[in-house]
Formats: sequence, C-alpha cells, structure tokens
Amino acid sequence: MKRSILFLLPRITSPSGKQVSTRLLARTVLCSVSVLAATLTIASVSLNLSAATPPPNAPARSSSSAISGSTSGSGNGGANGASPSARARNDANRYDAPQDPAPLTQAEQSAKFASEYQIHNEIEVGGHVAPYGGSGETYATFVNLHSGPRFLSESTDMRAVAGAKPLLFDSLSTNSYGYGGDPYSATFLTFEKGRFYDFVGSFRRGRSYMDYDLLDNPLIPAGNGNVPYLTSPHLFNTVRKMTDALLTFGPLSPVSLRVGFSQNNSEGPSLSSAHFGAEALLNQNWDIQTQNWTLGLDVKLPRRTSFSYDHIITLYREFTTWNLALLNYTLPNGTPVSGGLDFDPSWADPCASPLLPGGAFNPACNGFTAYSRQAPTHLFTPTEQFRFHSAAIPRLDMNGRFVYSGSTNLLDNFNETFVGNETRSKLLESVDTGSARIRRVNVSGDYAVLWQVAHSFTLSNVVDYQYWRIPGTNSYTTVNSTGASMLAAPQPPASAPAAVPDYQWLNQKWTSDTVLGTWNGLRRADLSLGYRYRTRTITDSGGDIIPIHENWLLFGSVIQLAANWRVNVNVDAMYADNSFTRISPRQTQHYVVRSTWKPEKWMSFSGTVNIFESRDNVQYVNYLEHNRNYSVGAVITPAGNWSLEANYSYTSAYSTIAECYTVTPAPANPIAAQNPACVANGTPYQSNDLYNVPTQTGNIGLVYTPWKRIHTTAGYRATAVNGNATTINVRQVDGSLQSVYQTPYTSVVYDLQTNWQWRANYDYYGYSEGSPIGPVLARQFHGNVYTLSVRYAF
Amino acid sequence: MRRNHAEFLPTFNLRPRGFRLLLVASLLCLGVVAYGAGKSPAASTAKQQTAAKSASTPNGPSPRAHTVGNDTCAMCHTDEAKAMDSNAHARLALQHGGKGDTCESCHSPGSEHVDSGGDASKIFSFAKAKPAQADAVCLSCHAAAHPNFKRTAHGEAGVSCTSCHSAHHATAEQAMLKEPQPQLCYSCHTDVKPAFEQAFHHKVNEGLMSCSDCHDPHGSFQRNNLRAAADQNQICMKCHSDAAGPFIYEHPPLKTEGCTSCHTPHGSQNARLLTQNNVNNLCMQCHTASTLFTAPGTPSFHNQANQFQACTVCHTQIHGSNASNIFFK
Repeated sequence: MKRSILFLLPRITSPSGKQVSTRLLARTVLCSVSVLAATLTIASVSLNLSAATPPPNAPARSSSSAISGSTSGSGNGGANGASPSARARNDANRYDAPQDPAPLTQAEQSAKFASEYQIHNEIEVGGHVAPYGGSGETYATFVNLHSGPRFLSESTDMRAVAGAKPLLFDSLSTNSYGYGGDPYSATFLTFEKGRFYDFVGSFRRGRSYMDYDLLDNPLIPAGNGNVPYLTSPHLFNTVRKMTDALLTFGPLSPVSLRVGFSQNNSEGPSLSSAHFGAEALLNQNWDIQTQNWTLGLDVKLPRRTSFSYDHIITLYREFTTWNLALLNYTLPNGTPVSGGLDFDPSWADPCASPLLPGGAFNPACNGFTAYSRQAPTHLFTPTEQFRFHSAAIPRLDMNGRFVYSGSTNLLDNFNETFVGNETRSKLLESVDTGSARIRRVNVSGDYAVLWQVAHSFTLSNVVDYQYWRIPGTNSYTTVNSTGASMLAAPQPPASAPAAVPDYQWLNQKWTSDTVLGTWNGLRRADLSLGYRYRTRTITDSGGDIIPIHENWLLFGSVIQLAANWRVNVNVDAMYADNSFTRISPRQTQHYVVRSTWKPEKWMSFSGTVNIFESRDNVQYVNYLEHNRNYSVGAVITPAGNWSLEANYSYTSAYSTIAECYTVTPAPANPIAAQNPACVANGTPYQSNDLYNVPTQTGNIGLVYTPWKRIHTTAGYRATAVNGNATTINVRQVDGSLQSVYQTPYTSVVYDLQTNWQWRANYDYYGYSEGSPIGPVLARQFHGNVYTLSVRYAF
Repeated sequence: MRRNHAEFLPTFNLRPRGFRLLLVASLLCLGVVAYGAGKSPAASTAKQQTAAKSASTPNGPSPRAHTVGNDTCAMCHTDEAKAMDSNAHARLALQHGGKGDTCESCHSPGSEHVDSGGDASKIFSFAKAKPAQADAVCLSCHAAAHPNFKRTAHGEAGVSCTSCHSAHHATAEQAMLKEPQPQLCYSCHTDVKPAFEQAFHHKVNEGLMSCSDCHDPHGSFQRNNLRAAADQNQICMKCHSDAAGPFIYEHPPLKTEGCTSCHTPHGSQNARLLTQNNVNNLCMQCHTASTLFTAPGTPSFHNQANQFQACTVCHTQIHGSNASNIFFK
C-alpha cells in the first residue's frame, strides 16, 4: 500500500525539486500514519532528522522550549523575527521562482523540505527496572509495569512556514507512547490542509488484567475430603484496541463532508467458571469487534444557520468461545475429568465422596469430561441523524436533532455441549442448540430554544423525546441424555425434543421538558431558576406497565466575588411518584458549590462541595444513599524555577437498604424480615445492607529546576479508605474497604547538551489492606519502577 | 398478542396531562417569542458586528472603527505575532494569503486602538470581557459545532470558552487547550480527580482515555454533558459493546436506569467498578422479594452460607443473554 501510493505521487507533482520534496513529505506522512509500528516511526524520525537539522548558525533551542514542545527556534528560527508580510515575500520569492532544471542534490532537497516546514521532533527510548514484592497478581492488577526496554514516547510536529505551498498538508502532528510492553500505549495523529481537509486519528491499546482474588474459597476446611482453593482461579487478561479516525473535507466551507471510522477490538483470555453440579474452570477466549462507519454532511447556511446529516453504520461481531480449562482428575477408566474448583462434601460439592480408594475420581459425582460453548453474534445497526442549529431569528437561538436507529442482532448457531455428570438431574450429556434474532429500534428527538428576552434575562426550553423498543425471538432445542454415572452409557430422551421458541420485548418511552430562566442583571451574580418535568413508561413482555413521573426544581447561581474569584452554586431537587427498581430514587437532592480563585495569574485555588442525596423510602425498601465530597486544590506556578500543585479530597459514600435473604444455619442475631413477601419467598432474614466508605485522597507535586540544566519533580499521592459493609455471605470475597494505596514519585532530567536529555524516573506503588476484608488474606504489594531514558528533541 | 404488537408501534401521544399542558405552554411561549422577534430590531449577524456590540462598554471600539491588518498589530504585539504560525486561527490565514481569521476577527477592528496610541479600551479584550461576551465572539463562528454550549453547566456557570481554550498560549495543540486533559478538567472538578486515584478506575490518568471520550464539555442533550454511542445507547457501550445488546433477555435496569445503577465509572473500591464492594449485596439491593417491584426476589435455595460466593459465578451473562433468561449463558 505504501509503495503504491509513492508510485502515484510523481503523476500529481511537478518535476524536479518540488517532486522530491513531495515524496519526502509523503514518506513522512506514511511513516507517521504507520507509527503504530515503532520501526516505521523511527524511520520517519530518521528522515526528519536528516532533513531538518538546524544550520550551524541557527540559534540554539533553550532547554525549556524543548521540554514544552514548542516549535519556535528550529531551523527556521532566523525567519521568525521578520514580520509576517516580509516572511511571506521571502517565501513567495523562494517558491515562485522558475524551477531549476538541474536536479537537486540530497542536501538541497533536505534544505528545501526543511524550508517548507518547521519541524519539531522528539523521541525517548529507555526502559524500566521494576522489582516488586507481595502479591504479584495484585501488582499486575493495579500496575502491571514490568522490566524491559521501552519505546517510551515519540512526537513529530510539522507546520508549514508562512507562504509555503506544500502539497499534502499544512501541519501534521503525531505522538505516541507506551510501546514495547507497557500495558497502555497510544498513537495520536492529526494533519490538515487548511480549507481543504483535516484529519484526526488515534490508536489506543490497553491491557485489562484482573486477578484480584475475588473467587477464593478458603473457608472450606482442609482434610476429610475437602479441597479449598486459596487463591482465585478467576482471571481476566484481555486487550482492548481502539482506533478512531475522522476525515473532514472542506472544514471551513459552507458544505463540508465528514468520513469517520472507529474500531474497537476486545480479545484475549479469561478464566471463568460454569456450574453443572460442580464448578468447572473455563477458558473464555474473548473475540469481539465493533466497527463504526460515519458519513456526514454539514451545510452552513447564511444567517447563522446550519444543518447536519449523519449516516452511521455499526457492525458488531462476537466470536467468544468457552472451553474447559482444567481436567484435574481421572475417572477409573482413565478419562480426564474436572471435579470442580473446590471440594466441600458438606455441600455435596461435587459429592459426598469425590475420590475413590486409589485416587480416581468418583464417576457418580458431579463432574465435567467435556464442555464447550459458542455463541457467534452479528449485529448490524444503521443510524440516521439529522441536526440543525439556527440563530437566524433575532434574539433566538435554537437547535435540535432527530435520530433513528435500528439494530438487528443475529445469533445463528448457538451451541453448548456438556458431557459429565450433574447428579441432581442425572444429566450425563446436554447439547443445547438454537438461534435468536433481536431488534432494537430507537427514535429520539431533542429541541432546544434559547430566548434573549431582555438584555439581562434569558429563557430556555429543552424538549427531549426518546422511544426505544427491543423485541426478540429465539428458538432452542435441548437434547439431554441421562444416567447415574459418568461411566454409564447415556440414555437418550424417550422422544425427540422439540424446539422451544420464546418471544420477549422491553420498551421505554421517555419525554421531558426543561424550562430555565436566567437573570444576569446583578453586577456580581447571575441567577437561574428552572423546572423540569420528565415522564417515562417502561413496558415489557411480562405485562408490566410502569409509568414514572418526575418533577425537578433547578437553581443555579454564579457569584463573582471578585474579578478573579468565582463561586458557582447549583441545586437540583427531584421528586418522582414511582421508581423502576428499589435503588432508583424517588427523591434526590444535589448540591454543588464550586469556587475558583486566581489571586494571581500564576496562582489558582479551587474547591468543591458536592453533595448528592438519594432516597427510595417506601415501605420495606428504605433505600438511602449519599455521596458527599469536599475537595480543595491549589496550583502555584510562579515564573521562577519551581511550581507546586496540591489537592485534598474527602468523600463519603454511604447507602442502606432493606434486603431479605436466607441462610443456613441461622445467623447469630437474626433480624426477621418485615416484608411478608420476603417470608413467602423463603427468605426470612433481613439486613439493612450498610455500605459506608469514607475515602481520603491527597496529592502534592513539586516541579523544581535547581539550575539551568537540571529539572526535577517529586510528588506523593495517596488514597486511604476506612469503611465497612454488611457481610451476608461469609464466603463472599470483598473488594477492600480498608486499604491504603500510595504512589510517591520523583524524576530528574539532565540536559546533556543541545537537544539531548537524560531522564530518570522513580515511581513507587504500594497497596495494603487491613481487616476486615472477608475470608481471604489481606492483599498487598509494593512495587518500585525505575525508568531510565534518553530523549532527543529538536 | 394484539396488545403486544401495539407496544411496538411508536406512539407520540404525550401523557400525562401535566406534560401536555407544559408542552402547549412551551409552544405558546415560542409563538410569542417568534412574534416578538419579528418586531425586534435586527440583531447583528456577522462576527465582527457581534464583537462590536461590546462597544457600548469600555471593552471595544465604536462601530466607526475599521480594520488595520495583522502587520500593524504585530508592530506592538510582538510576542503574539511570533506565535502566529502556531496559532490555529492565524496559521490558516498565513497559509492562504491572509484569507482567514486574523487578529481583528476576534478582537474587533483596531483603528481606534491604533489611533489612540494603544488605548486598551478601544479594542476587544477577552480578559476583560464577561464570559457571555467572550463566548459570543467564539460562537459567532463555532456555534454550529457547539450549539448546546450556552445551556450547558459550563455555559450557565460562567465558564467561558477562554476558561479552557487559549488562542495565544495553548499548551495542548488539540483544540488549543490551556492545559491537556485531564489536568484542565481537574482544575475545577476537584471532586472528580480523587475518583481516578482510587485503586480501580478508568485509565484517564494513564492517558488511555480522556474526559472528553465520555463527556462533551460543550454540551449535549444528555445529562452531565454525556455523549451517546452511535446508536444512541449509553456512551459506555462504545467500548463495552458486548454489554450493549440488544438481547432477547435484557437485564432491564441496564437499559432503563443506565450503567451507573451498578457501576461508578470514575473509580471504585471494587475491581469491576461496582457501586458496592461485593457483588452479592449489589444484586440483593434489587433482588429482594417485593410486591412493589418487578425484579424477582432471591430464591430460597440461594443459601447465603453455601459454597457459591458471588451471584455472577453462575449468572455470568448479567448484562443480557440471548440463550438464558436467568443470564447463565
């Protein structure tokens, strides 16, 4: 592809030096586009280095500008002092002159290329040394930085100088980081040609690793046939790759065209489990891809009116598979079998006597000899979106949109095969096959108008409407073969099983109207007062029709205590006459006070009080929740050689709700369920399910340049949680509510010489849990990540 | 069955009566607005006229002022002139023969400012302008891209365009931000920053995501300035597309109440960003037997002292399933 594009270039460029310059440009663009591969990026950098090395008499770049990524002072630094018009004249003379028929030398080509663009480039290579102690699984879950060489960062910035007429782009900017083994890496690329087009693209890759011991079962006493598992076999280790690209033709024209593409891949293994009497460990291989294709048209009409139309195609496919990951025993005939993750004969898991004399697995127990599942899914979603904005009518500003989207989700060949023994139903084999077809139709429209009623009073009204419905059908056939032992021949069903169809739907219709008046007649304050009415109706195939009506009171105020001190106060209060779930609020109050004070240009203080209260306080529910945050921050960046940033936050997350459950044996101090429905349901005990998580977070960071060639940073971040929660199931492994996570850091940057820097970073990651945290040992780790690198920038 | 199919038809009847009355009132209000607008004097439409509206205040020239050109501005404002080729507005003009936005496109015609020897009150200054005045200048060109801005929490809170963007002193090339994300957002949202420093969080501080992946700071029709997925699903579904469905067996709150019913997207004490530290308590908040709610109660055979620790060990497809109405597969 790259070769073919380069081959085409001579046909569209003028001969001689211009052509060479363009080909150089093309190579640079292509290399930058393919910067995803580090080798190509390095090739691009090498090309630019050779092309744009500043002349010996060019002013040296200061270390500070090299750090900030400024483009001034490059090889064209001598021209920067001239006025724009003079610069334009010089450039015009340079490029409008007749072409020299003689071919340019390599040095002349490079000089010409450099003269068209200001180029700034930087590359940082180095590596990590990352020893850690404690739980390696938890370290990988939280940090996942390991030792090895790294391509730490690269950036290229090219901007055409004034008056230059480059063919492909006026500016190009790309930057990348994290390649070579870090869990997160990304590349961003933008380039544009003024009125003709602009392009914005990115590629991001993130590894999601989770091995947090959330499925331990250490409370099973060892011995007597019991086999507890002390560390969780569950694991999540997937990679998500996100690509986004948007090309706009004629971005400043009355009519512009947008072509967009985004892709999201999620792939990789995870270890989960399936329950057929015993719990077998499964290898779940994720393979999910979503693509979005967008074609958009923007039309700008006179009198500040514009229309946009978007046609979006979404394609989704999922080929995730599940297979047995562990066959940890053998049957007496030598067949490998999975007896499940844990043995707890007191719960007949997998049975009262799982192992026979001699160590073979009891074929009369619950167990798996084979399991697989496939559910290949394809989704096609076309979406049409129409938007408009107009300020053509004096004192009136309005905009709106209409969206129609219709998804079709097809599951053609579902297959789940189980071979083993589920003693409860005497199931030896089960093959479940079928298909499903589901639609999602969404119709939504929004319209907003803002009326400047008077010089100091505005009135706005926003109407929102959304209606979606999800009807679906499926048909499944299950063939079950039975028997008493995994060594017995499975007995097929007496008659051929029939396909069982099903038909389900879920709908929601949603409308709201918000009216808000804003008065800014006071010298130091703006006030706004509004009202919102929202109604929605949820219906489903079970015959439920659930209407919910909400009334909102909205208040806002902007108080300018001084020219550099602003305080915002917002209060939203909502009352609903119904709720869909027990934790959906019938009343909420949300109070937000934000303040920003900038006594000097280089000094800023900010603070927030954010209090959210939510209730569904009907009988037998009594849901009460709050999330209260109090936080302050300061940024001090004087013109000298240091700057300081500090933040502190206290957050209280709290909720209670009446829950019913059953447990055997009965708890020590049981609370009888008050709701007769709970008793009738066989869940006679009640808990208030307290969840109380006070969290303190603080950080401080200092940047200090002790002398010209040395730059240092140091900081400390910590999050401390000291909470508690109701534990109903003693085997439940909690996320910790008693923990401290701290990450101090420091770095030193030394300017070796012009354009070269040596860097050293040290990051410490420490996580420790207190008690109670559930039945597992406290998770803790401490990691030291040393990063050494060299950075070249020009 | 007839009723079932009727549910599929998109009906537009607005109920209840209160809402209908409100909508009628809104339409009447709009009618009055349109009538009043027709009688009002024509407002300025061009961006320079918009800037000139500020002439009534000391911050700006009179309508008689005329343009003097970039070169004249550069004679005194040398620092800004030097940075013109890195200024996204001016760079375009420089590349295309002066056609495009230059100094006076935003700062209003400068003749009076020049003639007065640099009287600062004779030129439009964003630093001295009220947020609404500064926004008016920016939106005179960018309103089509950000039509919701005036009604956002930012717009209403006096957070103007120049609070986040700087034409002359941007440190982030993308969108001329004063600071890169997320630091820029954290500078005011001090309550959000600690959430991303919790043990489990979306990777915003690590640079894998940015605030604007999920939020549109210029406003949207969603709450909290949230964006929406292409098919108008929740923005979470853009990446977590496996939870988007549609499924024949939906977990209804996921679609009706949203992902935040169970997850705290910024950060949490649970590895899966749940609102509770363990999943059983979270499930039982809704799945407790009740005559008021449709969610089924936890069945009696789910003994909370047996070997099954987490509901999602068996109910693995909890976001929705096409094969199991209890989300087993």
